[in-house]
Amino acid sequence: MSKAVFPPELLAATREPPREVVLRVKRYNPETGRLEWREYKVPAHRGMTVLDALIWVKEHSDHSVTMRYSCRMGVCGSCGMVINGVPRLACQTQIAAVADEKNPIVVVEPLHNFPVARDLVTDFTGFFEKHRSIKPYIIRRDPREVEEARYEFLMTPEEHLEIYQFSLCIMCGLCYASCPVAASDPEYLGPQALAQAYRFIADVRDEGVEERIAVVDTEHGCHRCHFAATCSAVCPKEVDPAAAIQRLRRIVLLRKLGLWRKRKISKVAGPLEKPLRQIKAEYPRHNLLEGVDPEAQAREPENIDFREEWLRSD
Amino acid sequence: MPRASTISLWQYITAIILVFVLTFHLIERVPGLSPLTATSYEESLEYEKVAKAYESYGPVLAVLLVVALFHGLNGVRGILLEWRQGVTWTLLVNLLFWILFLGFTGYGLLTIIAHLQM
Repeated sequence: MSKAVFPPELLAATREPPREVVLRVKRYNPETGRLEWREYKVPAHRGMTVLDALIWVKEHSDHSVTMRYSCRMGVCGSCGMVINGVPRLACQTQIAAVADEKNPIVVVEPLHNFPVARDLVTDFTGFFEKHRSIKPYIIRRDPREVEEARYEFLMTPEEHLEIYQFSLCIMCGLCYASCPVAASDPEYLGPQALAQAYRFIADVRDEGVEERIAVVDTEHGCHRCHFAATCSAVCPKEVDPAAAIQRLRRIVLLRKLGLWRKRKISKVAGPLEKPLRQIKAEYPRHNLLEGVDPEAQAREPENIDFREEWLRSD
Repeated sequence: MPRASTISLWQYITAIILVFVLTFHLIERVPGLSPLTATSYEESLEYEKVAKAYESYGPVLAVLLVVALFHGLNGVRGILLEWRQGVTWTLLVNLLFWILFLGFTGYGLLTIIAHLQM
């Protein structure tokens, strides 16, 4: 009889953590430019996550500790941080998985390869710009097919399965933080953006291969990857960006040799007699966060010309 | 510079060619297998044997020279572009790549041709 095998990370929730854990947090104050390590003693309990421990610190010990979090269940991808040297989601990391009675110290740092805004909060602007540069949306030769809610694209379950794994990305940035190439080359598009480029190129509903290949086939695109595969090792959603990048490189090279073309482009059903109800999203005008421009949010995604940015920065 | 995929493609092509020409180049040094009829590794490196190699297998050695230079220098170019970024740096590295590649290729080919004419 076969036994079910669970990874130790999952089993950690059932283990007893140390009674008291020491959180060693790397802190950064942008006003003073001061960088320091602070230690906090936290009473731990079974099922406690690193995020729970940080929230405990904020509530009971030091309310100035800054971190970003939202859903607390591994869906939003906000609480990415480096825990004991490995980029992880704090809400998915059990204290019992990273500390025990013998070694109750948990080292928490902001994500590597990102500019630090404060303490454990990092700036994702560049990361999102790179994601946006690969045009992460369905492109059709006839734009009406996407813009008008009168059509639907046909896709078989098998075709969906081909991209399903790569569409699970929650943009938490752990892959980018673990990437040795991103560490040395800030211009590198990174595993997240490249995996998403592959996800859309492989999507039968998409016709934007040319546009995406023009973005990824550069000195800082898919050919820069060393295949260290740390991105896949740390991905909390098992997206496997390393595999996506290798497939992307294969497509780019075979296409160069004239040996690759998209096997199938899905047809559209419609126009539907009764158009689907289309709701125009309005950005809430009240309670705006500082720096948020609702006009810019409402506009179509802009294509960022990295070369232009690059020339300006040099 | 051409697209990254073009450079990568040439990197792969030169790697495949290198497997063959480098194998031949190493066999030249192996006693018993050496087409230069050298009885020892040291003998295969003597001036007469090397000059004979130029005369007998000049084109193979010329291919080895070109592909090894391209493959090796392109590898260094990749490391340098990863090390630092910027338009000036990229331009400088690319320029250096072509100067070294063309310079060493010319120098090496002239050496082989000179021996062929002797």
